[in-house]
Order: sequence, then structure tokens, then C-alpha cells
Amino acid sequence: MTTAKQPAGGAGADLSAPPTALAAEPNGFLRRRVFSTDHKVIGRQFLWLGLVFLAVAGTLAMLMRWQVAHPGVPVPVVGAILFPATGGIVSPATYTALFTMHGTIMIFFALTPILIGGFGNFCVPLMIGARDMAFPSLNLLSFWTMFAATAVLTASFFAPLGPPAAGWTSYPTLSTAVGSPGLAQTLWVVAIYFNGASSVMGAVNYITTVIRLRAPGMTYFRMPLTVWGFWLAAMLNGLFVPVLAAGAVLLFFDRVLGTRFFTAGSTIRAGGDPILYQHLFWIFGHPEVYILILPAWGIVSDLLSFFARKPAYGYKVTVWSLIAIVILSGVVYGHHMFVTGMSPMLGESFMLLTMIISVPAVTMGVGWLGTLWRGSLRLTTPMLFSLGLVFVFGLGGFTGLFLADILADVYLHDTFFVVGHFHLTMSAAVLLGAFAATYFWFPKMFGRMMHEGLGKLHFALTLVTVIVTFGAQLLLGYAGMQRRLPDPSAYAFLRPLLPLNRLVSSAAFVMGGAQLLFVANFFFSLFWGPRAPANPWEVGTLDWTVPSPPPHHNFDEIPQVFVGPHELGNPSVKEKLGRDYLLQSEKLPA
Amino acid sequence: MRAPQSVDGDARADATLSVGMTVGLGALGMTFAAVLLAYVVVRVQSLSWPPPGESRPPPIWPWPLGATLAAISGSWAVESARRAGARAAGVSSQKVTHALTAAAVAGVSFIAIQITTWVGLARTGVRPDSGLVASVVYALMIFHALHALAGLVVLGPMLVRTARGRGLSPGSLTALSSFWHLVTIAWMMVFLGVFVA
Repeated sequence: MTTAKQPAGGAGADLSAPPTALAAEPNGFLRRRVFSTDHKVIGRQFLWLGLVFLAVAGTLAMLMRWQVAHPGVPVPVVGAILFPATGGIVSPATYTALFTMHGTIMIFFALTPILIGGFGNFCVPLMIGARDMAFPSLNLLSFWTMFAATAVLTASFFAPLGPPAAGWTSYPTLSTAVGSPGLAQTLWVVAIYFNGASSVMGAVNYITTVIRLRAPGMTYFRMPLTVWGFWLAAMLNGLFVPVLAAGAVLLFFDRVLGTRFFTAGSTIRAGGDPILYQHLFWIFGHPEVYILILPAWGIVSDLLSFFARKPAYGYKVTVWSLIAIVILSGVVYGHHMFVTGMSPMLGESFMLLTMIISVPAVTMGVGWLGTLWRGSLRLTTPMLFSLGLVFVFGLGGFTGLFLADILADVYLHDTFFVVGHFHLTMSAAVLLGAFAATYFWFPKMFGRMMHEGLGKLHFALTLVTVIVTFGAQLLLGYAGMQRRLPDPSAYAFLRPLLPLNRLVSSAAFVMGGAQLLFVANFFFSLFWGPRAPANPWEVGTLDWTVPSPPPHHNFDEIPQVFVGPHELGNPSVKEKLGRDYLLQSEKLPA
Repeated sequence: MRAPQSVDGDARADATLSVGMTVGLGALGMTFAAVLLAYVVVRVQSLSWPPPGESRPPPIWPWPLGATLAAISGSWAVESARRAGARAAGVSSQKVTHALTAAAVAGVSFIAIQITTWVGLARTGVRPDSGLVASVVYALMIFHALHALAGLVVLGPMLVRTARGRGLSPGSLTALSSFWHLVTIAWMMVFLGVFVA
């Protein structure tokens, strides 16, 4: 494990410390592009990996939506190739595998690598004024462990007896050797373990980097909210991913060695407890929601301020809200298990705590609205996606209150209402945040600007279809349609819902198609986009004080920080500097 | 090109390593805690322990006791290395080499004892799928042994380095000893929880 040589950061760091020599950029393609320890390269690698798997998971979703909207009808074009045994029809077994892999990939192999791996790696050192992560070699290992995880998961698609099909939660008894015989589910467990190991390595790096490598003057309350989001998410990763790892290890032992932790006993044979796995899973699983959304919240909190051209309203309140959410997120997991027969007193406690978590969440939302209020809005593509997140998360968060209530949850649990809710909160909102981040930092990452017109069209189509798709799923669930049904028309009481299901699918197909605009814009801009200046968005955080893309060592000299990240719209700055923003490393002339 | 490392820079790097190691050990501690929690849950939910129809594993007392002694000896050895390393501060020290050699011997002994225990259990017909007690014994021991093995994998290059006359930073020795102590503590909990309680 090597450590980056840089004076210890934060307020009061010794600026007179002798400067250390800059590490030269390594020669050779492999060291520079493949096995690089540069956080920017690793960030881009995570981004590419995540985007590829986002496309895979999205395609799986399209196949599922075709089946639900047109049960028993062969999938056009690709059906005969993908499902030759059934004449192109998505069979119930295939449908189960599709939603298992869709959920698994989206959560663990697409959104996590894009936001935390990609933007976390790229942005955190740049935004705090560091030359690299605290442990660059560990960072490299983290990416390649994630890569190994994706390889194992991909292999599970081709395992004998078919891909994993126990759901993204992989509850026993579905995921035991009896419920899911064959190699695929075992590979799933191994992939999740590797993925977790990668996340924990990342968490060690992010937490340490922020504590130790902040530039002089970069106090905690001068850190951009983006950094706060990544830092707090890293804490949750470090604390709770290991619990999932423990569950995965025991499930692996159950499947491979025949141990009985998650196999229920009988009168003649003692056994463990399938519900035990659910506890281990959700102790991790609920914080995972925040692991995904915290970085998006942080990014959006900064972007709203940047593009409203005024300081973030209630910066400190927002930070404390984020901290409160992190703390509460560890004690609310039981609301995922209301229907497992837990003690009513325990259930009520979880219900109360879950409802309480909405207080800091709403407080943060009020901060966002306060930031926008009377701002001088610049409706750029990143700003539009940020606004989209505010709306979509508001909608999704509100529906969470219904699921926090035991009585409502008993009815809504295992219906499409839950699907709509968590897609709005931890999928669509996170995805909108990821798009905001991509449009915003693309110039810094690749040195070129993305096309604004295409970006706005991408935003409009995505937002509308997200709301229709997942909003209508809320209605389907309220009407009683269960999750995981390959053919809802099999039940008479669900047949009237077919038009609504077709609406959801149509909106989903348009949403999927709209992403091609993003792909086209991404690749076109990568090669032919206009060259990006150092600070195209005219903001003050340290990442925009270096060239686009930044040099290998980030900063020629470690900057001294004088102000917070949102010094925007200050009349004195305008008067003295002729612009409306102040860099964090800049002192306002007397 | 590596930066010339000043004593001041060493101290900063060690402090950074210390923070990272603390976070890493916290995560590892959570994993062990969750695995042990799973054991507690299945045991508490069982009508009795051993559960009806099962018996305790055959007497293998000398082996877990031996493993415990090996774990404690290893911890003592890495702690000695850490203290000697702190005094030598990056300079190669025979004391460090000797202490790390002792730790390696203790670690290898620990793994060897665990493997002997599993072989012994299997020969008496107790396999991981034999029952709930066997599940717990094997799962906890194997999970723990993998971490002991990881400790040895980290220790190996450090031992080679110091044996060749190159110094180790106090921070890296502190990190190693912290990890080793945590793995020892985890074994003590497994030993007390599974073989004694």
C-alpha cells in the first residue's frame, strides 16, 4: 500500500513544509491507461464500466417490460436470438432471471461504479486540493476487484441451468442450493462479495483522503457538498457493506459446504433461519439506498447553487441533515421486513424511525428550494438534470411514507407500488444525479464540451418517461398488482390493468431510446466536441482551477483555500473582479 | 519517480496509513461481528444447544487451545516487532526481523492447527453439513482462517524486506500489528463462543 506524498490538509496545515517532488506520469500504455494508480484514470475506468453495465441492465429491463405488456408474444428482433428455446418468448423462468440480473447489475454494477467509483474517484481529490487518493495502489486494486466481480457476474449468465434467479435480494430459501441449484447463484454470491470488497477498499480511500489530504484552509465546512456526499456514503459503505459480505459468505458456505445458517429446521433436523439472511441483507440494504443517493444529493446541492448563481441556502443545515440521514439510515432497515412477522413493538419502532428520517430529508429539500429562490438560474443540461432529481426524489420520497407505515405496507408490500417507489428514489433520482454529474464534469474529465441541445432533449425525454413509467407503477401497485409476475393477465382481477402496463412499457421503451441520444452525445463530444476551457461553468471549486483535463499531478502547487465552495453572486466580487464568482483558492482583493 | 521521503513525510504517511487502517479494521470488525451475530441468532433460536438430535463435536480440545496459543503468540510477536520498529524508525533492525519471523511461525502454526482440526473432525464423520453445530464450527473457523492467511500474506513481503536489511516504516508495522490483533481477538471470540460456551 503506497501513500500519496502531500502535506496533511485541513485548516492550519503547515504551508511552510518543504514541497515534495511531483510524481511523473508513468510511460507506457498499460501503466498509464490500464493499471494506472491515477485517481482520474481509475475514475474514468469506473465510469466506462458502469456505463456498459447500465446499458446491459437497461436492456434487461426492456425485455421484462415487453413481456409484461405483451405476455406470451415473442420479443421482436432479438427474441429469436436470445430465447431460441421458447421461440423468442420470455418464459417465466427467464423473466425471473431478467429481474434478478436487472436489479443486481443496476444497483451493484452500474449506479455504484458510475457515481461512487467514477465521480467519487475523479472529483474528491480534485475538489479538496489533493494530488491523488491517500492510497493509490489500493484504489487500483479496488477497480480491478470490481472488474473481477463483473467478470464473475457475467459468467453467471452462461452457467448451466441458467442465470441467477433469486431476485436482487437473493433471499433464502430461493437462493439456497435447493431453491437455486447450479453454479449461477454461487457465482452471484462470489460477485457480490468481490463487489463489496471493492466498495470497502474505496471507502477506506475516500474517508482517509478527506481526513488527511485536504488542502490547507479546506476546513470541513468549506468542502463542497459533493465531497460531503461521497464522504458520508463512504462511511456507510465501510460500516454496512461488510454486513452484506458476512451474509454472502454464510450463503456461500450454505450452498457449497452444506452448512445450515439459512436453511429452516424441521422436527427431525435442526436448522438455521432464512429470515436471518433478510436481517443481514437489510442492515446493509437500507443504508445502500443512501450510499447511492448521498453522492447524488451532494452533487445536486452544489449544482443548484452553481447554476442559481448564489450560495447554497443553509449550507451547514444541509450538511447536518446529511449527517442525520446517515445516522438514521442505520436504524430503519426493519421497515423492509414488516411482513416477516416481527414483534409489533419492534415494527412500530422501525416505523417511527423511518418517518423521522423524512425530517432531515425535507430539511435538505427546503435548502434546495431556498437556493433556487430568486436565483439567477442558468438552465444548462446539468442544472436541468439537477432540477429533475429534486422533483423525482420528492415524488419518490413522498411515496416512501406510505411504505414506512405498517398498515399501508402490509397491503402495498410486494406490489408494484414498491417497485415504483424505489425506482423513483434510488434508481431514477440517482440516475438523474449521475447524468447531471456526467454533463457537468465531462469537460473536466475529457477536455471537451458535450452538446447542450442534445443534452436538453435527452433530459426532457428522460424526465417525462421516468415520471410516466414509475408513476404508473405506483398506480399498478395501488391497484393490487404484485411484483415479479411474468404474466399479470393470468389473474382476472389484473386484466383491466393491461392498458396501464402497456403505457408503462411504452414509456420505458421511449426512455431506453432516449438514452441513445446520451450515448451519441457522449461519443460525439468525446472526439469532436469543442475544447473545454478550464472553467466553463464559471464556478469556484478547486477542480475548476486546473486545466481540462487536469495534469497527472492535478495541482502544480497545493492550493491554499480561503473561502467556501459557493461564493457566487457577491456584489463585492463583481465590483472588484468583474465576475460573479470567487475561486476557493482566491482572496478577494482589499 | 518517487519523492524523496523526509522523516516529516514519513510521519505524515504513517498518520495517513493509520487513519486508513482504522477505517479498514472497522469494516473488518463489522464483518466478524455480523458473522458472530448470525451464530448467536441460530444458537438462541435453537431449542437447546447442541440442538436436539445433535451432539457437540468430538473432543478436539487440544487443537483449538493450541490455535489460541498460536494466535496469542503471533500477536505478541507482531507487537514486539512494532515496538522494535518504532524505536528503529525505518532502520533495519534484527529485533524486528526476529519478531516478524516468530509471528510468521505462529501464523503458519495457527493455520496448520486449524487444518488438522478440520481433518480430524472429518475423520470422525463431522462435516460442515452434519448439523447446525458442525455448520457453525466449520463456517466460523474457515472464515477466520482466511483472514489469518491474509495476515500471513501481508507479513511475508515485510519479513523478506527486513531480512534483506531494508527498514520498515513504523506505520506499516503498526498497521500489521493492528490487523493481527483484531484477527486474534476475533479468534478468541470464536474460541470462547463456539468451543467453551
